[in-house]
Amino acid sequence: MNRRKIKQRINRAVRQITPNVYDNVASVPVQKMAAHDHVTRQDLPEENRHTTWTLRFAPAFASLAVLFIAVFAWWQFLRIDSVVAVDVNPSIELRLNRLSRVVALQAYNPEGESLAEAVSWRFSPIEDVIQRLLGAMVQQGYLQSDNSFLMLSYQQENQNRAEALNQRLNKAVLRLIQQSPEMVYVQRVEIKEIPELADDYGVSRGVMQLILKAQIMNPQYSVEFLSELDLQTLYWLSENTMNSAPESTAPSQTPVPTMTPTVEVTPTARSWEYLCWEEDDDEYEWDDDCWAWLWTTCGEGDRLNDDCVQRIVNECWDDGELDDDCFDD
Amino acid sequence: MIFFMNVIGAPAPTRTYKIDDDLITRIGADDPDAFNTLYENINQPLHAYILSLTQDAQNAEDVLQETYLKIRSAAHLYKAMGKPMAWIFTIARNLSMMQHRSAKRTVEEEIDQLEHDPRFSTQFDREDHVFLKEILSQLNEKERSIILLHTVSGYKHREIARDLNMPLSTVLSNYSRGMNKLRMMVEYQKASSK
Repeated sequence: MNRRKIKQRINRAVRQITPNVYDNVASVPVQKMAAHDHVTRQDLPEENRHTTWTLRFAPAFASLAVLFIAVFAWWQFLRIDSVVAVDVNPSIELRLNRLSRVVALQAYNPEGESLAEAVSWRFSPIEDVIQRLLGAMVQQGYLQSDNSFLMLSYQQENQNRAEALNQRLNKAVLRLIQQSPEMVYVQRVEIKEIPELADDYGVSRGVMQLILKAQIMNPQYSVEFLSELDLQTLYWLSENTMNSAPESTAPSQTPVPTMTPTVEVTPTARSWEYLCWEEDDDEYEWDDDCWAWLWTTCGEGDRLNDDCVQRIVNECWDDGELDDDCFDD
Repeated sequence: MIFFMNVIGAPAPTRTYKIDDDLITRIGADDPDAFNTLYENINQPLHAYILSLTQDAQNAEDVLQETYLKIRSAAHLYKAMGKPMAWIFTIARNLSMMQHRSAKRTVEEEIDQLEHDPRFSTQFDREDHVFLKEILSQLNEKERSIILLHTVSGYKHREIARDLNMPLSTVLSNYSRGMNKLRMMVEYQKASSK
């Protein structure tokens, strides 16, 4: 007997004894229950209640799972974990995820934009991107002379990760370091406020840190002034105080102000050197004649007379530099 | 008679159930048409289910009647949950358990009684009922409920799972295991008779 026949036989047997109780139950008066008893209660069995509960919250669980995955993916792959600024003259910032792959790039000047367009960087390891950038720089004429200067600045709060990143950056520019160690400067950006300041002045955070260092060493210079200097001069000022620096230590092409105009004196406690920096073709240069005139006019022994200099400033300082005609008068 | 039944077989299980929460609500409001509709639709599967629990035709009939009366007295308290048959089966199950504690009969006695019961005498087939007795004794409660609901009432496995609050996998495995037991039982009986 196969299954079908068994089922037919069961069906037939049960149908034969199914009673018709309609008349006994349809018209009999019943008392309405005030509340469910243990027979009519609608509680679901435990197993099913658990299943129902699970099913009811399944969409929420699924949403949470998706959210968790999304957050993890963002945290692992898209969240900016560290920043590397590459400064030559082109100035570029690379934002890295936890895997030290570049997820964003920002150029701070037209040269940087041109360079960024020349290389592929998206989700590439930082070493590869830096090497591609160096290659593109050489092609575009940067890093060709002995006076070239490359600064890599990185910001990473975790000490261990910062050290690892430092090693990766040094490895990326190893050939350049071997060729010309003084050409490369790698620094860690450690001041938290630097990114905000860098945005304000439109420079990379590496340059901003260098500006602050330079100002610490040379407080007479304003940030605005320092932000206009070329990278190599800025670097020199961040390492040396202008007053005490022997001329021989300055980079050969850097316009380092000399402290020996016409009188053999040491600088004043309050420095007025900035008066004699003048802008020429978007670069600042030291004007020896101005410095000599200043000492001739306001020098008092080993110092400049502050009131005298202030008068000159009040009368002759015009649009960021001294008006020569006014000064002569 | 036996020959006739074997040739034409039993009527195929029909699926005319249209039981919804609204029907129970109407019964709670003493709508006689609603109760009639309920009865017409569920009497067969409800009896099959109760029989699978009580394993006794007379007790099954008693529980069947009590179940209908309970439905009428508690329908106004029914909270719509989309599964009215699950509620009805729960009532039937609870009443069967109460019945089981209070009264016991032997299947043999019951069959003898049925044979002389005027309600069934025109259709009663003793062989079928011996077979039914064997089924009720060979299978466990889950297997009985599932197989009777499926074969007598045409319930689909997923409907059984829904209304008996069981996982579908449990329904399928119990059905399969139960049917295998029955097939082996039939084959054994056939071999023994030779």
